[in-house]
Amino acid sequence: MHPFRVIAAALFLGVPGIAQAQQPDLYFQLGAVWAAPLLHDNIAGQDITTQQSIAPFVRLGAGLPLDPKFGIGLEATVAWGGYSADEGGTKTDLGNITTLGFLANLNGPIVQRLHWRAGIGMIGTLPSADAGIFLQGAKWNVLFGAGLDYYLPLSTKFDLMIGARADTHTLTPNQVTAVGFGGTQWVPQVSLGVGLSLRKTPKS
Amino acid sequence: MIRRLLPLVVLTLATSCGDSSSPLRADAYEWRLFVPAGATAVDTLAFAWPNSSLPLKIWAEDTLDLPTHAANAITAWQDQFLYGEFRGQMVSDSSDADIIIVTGQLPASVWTLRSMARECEGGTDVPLDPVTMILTPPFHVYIDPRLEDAPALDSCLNLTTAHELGHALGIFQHSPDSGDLMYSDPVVTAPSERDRNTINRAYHTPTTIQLSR
Repeated sequence: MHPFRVIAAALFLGVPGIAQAQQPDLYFQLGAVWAAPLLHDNIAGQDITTQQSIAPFVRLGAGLPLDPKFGIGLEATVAWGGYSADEGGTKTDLGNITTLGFLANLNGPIVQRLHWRAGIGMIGTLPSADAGIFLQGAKWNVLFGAGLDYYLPLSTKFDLMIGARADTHTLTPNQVTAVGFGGTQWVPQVSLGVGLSLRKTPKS
Repeated sequence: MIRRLLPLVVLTLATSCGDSSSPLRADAYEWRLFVPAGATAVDTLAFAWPNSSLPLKIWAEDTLDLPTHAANAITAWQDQFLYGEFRGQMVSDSSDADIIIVTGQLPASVWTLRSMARECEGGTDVPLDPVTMILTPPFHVYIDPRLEDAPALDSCLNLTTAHELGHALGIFQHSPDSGDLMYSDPVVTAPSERDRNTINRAYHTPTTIQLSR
């Protein structure tokens, strides 16, 4: 079975099932993500950098505390943004890309309101058109991520949640390999989001 | 738990510093035109369509399936680029076109480039003023079916249209290698790796020809 389907099945079937038996951890965030360049190239002495714009994202997460200091979770993030090639300060718009990432994670509290999260998953980079570096389409790549979440009590049921993430993933589109690029391109990303979670802070 | 995860985070950051390496694209042929300029001097003519001209508007006469061959040629060349250096689109009005493709023999002209496949012949009239060195579109591409009943005519028209579009994009010389689409008597049906390297070098080298609109 494709890893994407395994993660999706865990998200939609597994976690809610377990959560019925124990206190679930559910949240969503809206925010923005910045990604490092997708590709560096040099043609006839001219440096060319392909980069995504800062992109808005929506993140949904679910988890299950296993004990007071440790839990497991799964979060899905979808982001939309443009990408362009920059050659000597001249930018060429190359269209849009949607990234869809899944991160299976371990998490737990550092202090009462501040929690850590780290995990591994997959990310798909889906271009608006099969052209340029994505001429032969995109593929799913491995994703490593870690982050912090800060919770502020908002009501009896919800916390305001501020989340920061740093992650990195490989990106080696088939077309790039086909024209002679070697090695693996790693694309670090950082993101900041704000959202709501089911209340995690202690009730006073 | 954090102490246990710390090595994983450090490893992630360390591996994320890696970049893929770009290809050298060294295997290319000369695309620029060298013309005498005075008694001993030589002028180098290099041309590439500027980004502001894109997408290039291409019109083809509706005969011998030329519009289809032209559309195939656009796709064939677009696919050689990674960064949107060339994009083309078919247009229905020739008066609006940057490149006009018609059937017929190439007229006598100052700046012409020919391809000589067996079943058909092609030629591109480069609209360059030899005195001012200013290029004023449209380019005119002529496709001449020499053997109209030849079974391989369709294939010949397809590769000849792609070859001539290569000239109109700025490859002003022929490749010396028969494995390339831009060879003077082309036999391959799509741009080769050397064609790709050459057109990419052409579009990332300063041009010496002014474009007039």
